[in-house]
Amino acid sequence: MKPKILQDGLLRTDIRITETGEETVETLDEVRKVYSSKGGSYEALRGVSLSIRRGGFYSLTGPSGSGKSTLLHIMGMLDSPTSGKIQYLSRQVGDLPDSSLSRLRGDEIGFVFQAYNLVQRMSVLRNVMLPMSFSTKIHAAERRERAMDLLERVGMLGKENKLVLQLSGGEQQRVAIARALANRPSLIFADEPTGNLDTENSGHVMGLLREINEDGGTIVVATHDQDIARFATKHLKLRDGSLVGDEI
Amino acid sequence: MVSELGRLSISSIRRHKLRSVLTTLGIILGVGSIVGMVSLSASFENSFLSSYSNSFLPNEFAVGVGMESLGGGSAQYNIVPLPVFTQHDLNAIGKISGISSVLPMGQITTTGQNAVTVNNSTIFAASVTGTTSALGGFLPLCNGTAFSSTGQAVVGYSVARTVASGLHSNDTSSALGKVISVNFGRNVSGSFQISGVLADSPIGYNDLVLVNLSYYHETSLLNGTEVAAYTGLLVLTGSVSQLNSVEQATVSYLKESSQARYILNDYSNLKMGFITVSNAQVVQFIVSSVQQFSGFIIALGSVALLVGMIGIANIMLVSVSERMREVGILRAIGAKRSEIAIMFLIEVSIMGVIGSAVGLLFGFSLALIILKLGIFGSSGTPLIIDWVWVPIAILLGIAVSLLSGMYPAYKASRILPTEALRNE
Repeated sequence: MKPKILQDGLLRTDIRITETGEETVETLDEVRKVYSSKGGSYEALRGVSLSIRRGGFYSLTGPSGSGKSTLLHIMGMLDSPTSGKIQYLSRQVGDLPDSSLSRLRGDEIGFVFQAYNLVQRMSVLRNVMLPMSFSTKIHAAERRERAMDLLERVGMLGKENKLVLQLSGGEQQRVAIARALANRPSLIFADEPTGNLDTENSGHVMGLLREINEDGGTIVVATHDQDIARFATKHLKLRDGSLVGDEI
Repeated sequence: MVSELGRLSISSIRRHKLRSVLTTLGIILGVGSIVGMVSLSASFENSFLSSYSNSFLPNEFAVGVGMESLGGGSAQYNIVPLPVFTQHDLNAIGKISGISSVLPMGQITTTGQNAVTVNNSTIFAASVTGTTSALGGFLPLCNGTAFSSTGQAVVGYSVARTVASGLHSNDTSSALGKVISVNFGRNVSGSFQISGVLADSPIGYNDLVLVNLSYYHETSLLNGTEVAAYTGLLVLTGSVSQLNSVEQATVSYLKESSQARYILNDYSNLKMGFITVSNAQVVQFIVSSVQQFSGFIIALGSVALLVGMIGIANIMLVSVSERMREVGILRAIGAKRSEIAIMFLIEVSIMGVIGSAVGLLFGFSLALIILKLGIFGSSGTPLIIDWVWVPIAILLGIAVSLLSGMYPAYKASRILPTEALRNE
């Protein structure tokens, strides 16, 4: 069976390995998302199909309101589509109950948000350890050590006992990246990760994400900043809820 | 996982100290009043039963006239001192099977507020009753002996305390030998040397002044003839087990064969009948009165708990809406719905445990203060702590908290991660 070529030149079939030998981690097939309210309905995604290959560094660009965050949340299993299918490795995500979906999200996906979304009243170390406590992937005895390793990797060693409140925006985002890596996820989704940072800190954060990608991590960054999108090697462009090309 | 959720719950409680304290207040007051009143009731009962165990005879009952419908121990307070029991009746009752002896009691009408005085100072509430020197067999004495002459009297415990206090003493034995005056009215008065003091009694004998029956002159008309008649009788049975049957036999006799039934007919407009009241009934009545009062306070405590529940639910709903973003973060990093619910339930449980523990201390302290101050009785009653209430109160606090935290926890668990994160 010949794989069907979709936008971005990626594959969408039940075959998980492409002809070039790259493994497909996640596939979206005709995903639609409609928000309904009393005032009417709004179609945020209009039949998006794409595949994410292991080791890829993707940018997801598009103007404000084009559906970037919605698509990222659906890919990250934080939200469910109105219609369409999502396959993660060999599993149909739509068939999974909430508990399995939560575990899959915790074990396989790391998030980096524009507003960092750390638990403010916890220490840096506890924040990084938090995803591990919801997972069985990392043994309880190894969690602290792994968190320290991750903090060292993002250059935050020595600040592990500080409260998140005491950190600058750039530092918080680095902690958020360490947290995203906690459970050795297959996919990392970053939604405007530099949106609240100055140029210098933006550079640090994107540098970190590129390092992670070079180590084999698969990253999808949603951004409206073309300079940030240039860090990626593959590009997905959204307009009015539809994928419109692979140019920045 | 639970330890991390617990950590988050504790930090949430600590972050909102005042709110957490106010939230637990309902549990503290509810558990406190329930535990406090149960302890108070147990303390009263224990103290009451132990301190009075030697002050009355369990195989004794009083015979009088009163409201039959009231029955039970409360009848004791409804006995009306009507002179209806003749010597003939007394003799007949003495012959009823199971009765070992009968003591006549004739309440003497005294005049004015200064009816009974000691050294010209009034002994308030004292009530003078004529009886025989056999009284010691019916009413236990704590000091002295029954009177042996018409110039002597036996006084109740409270009367003795009043006499003793005039001598700056707390010891009722110091009243022995002292002289009290009784104003019988119509310019007749008498002086009596105290020969004995009745034991402290819960059943209404503490204010008595018992004098020789010769001072009692009440009569009633029986078929047109004036006869001497007593206002009441004290009856001793052979054993406690015979008490009920003998009481019934006595009432049957009085209703069917006695002279008293004819005399009582003259008072028919009072709608009264013959009643018997055993000492055990009176004690039971007093104990159950305390228990009823406790029940009332416990009901109030339950209302406090209910109000507390509503308070907890309300505060937790506020907490859920305040922590939407946190819920979103936890969901994004892998927390299940059930784990979000558990986090909020841990929070309310912690407040429940703390609330009920503080409530326990509050309840015991409240009971102790009430006992020390003697608000509902004699001070110095020792506090009886029923330890079974400690786990019950803790469990009650947790159960109440969990129950009130269930809906907010459920609501938190249903928050969609994207909605929660949009709360940025």
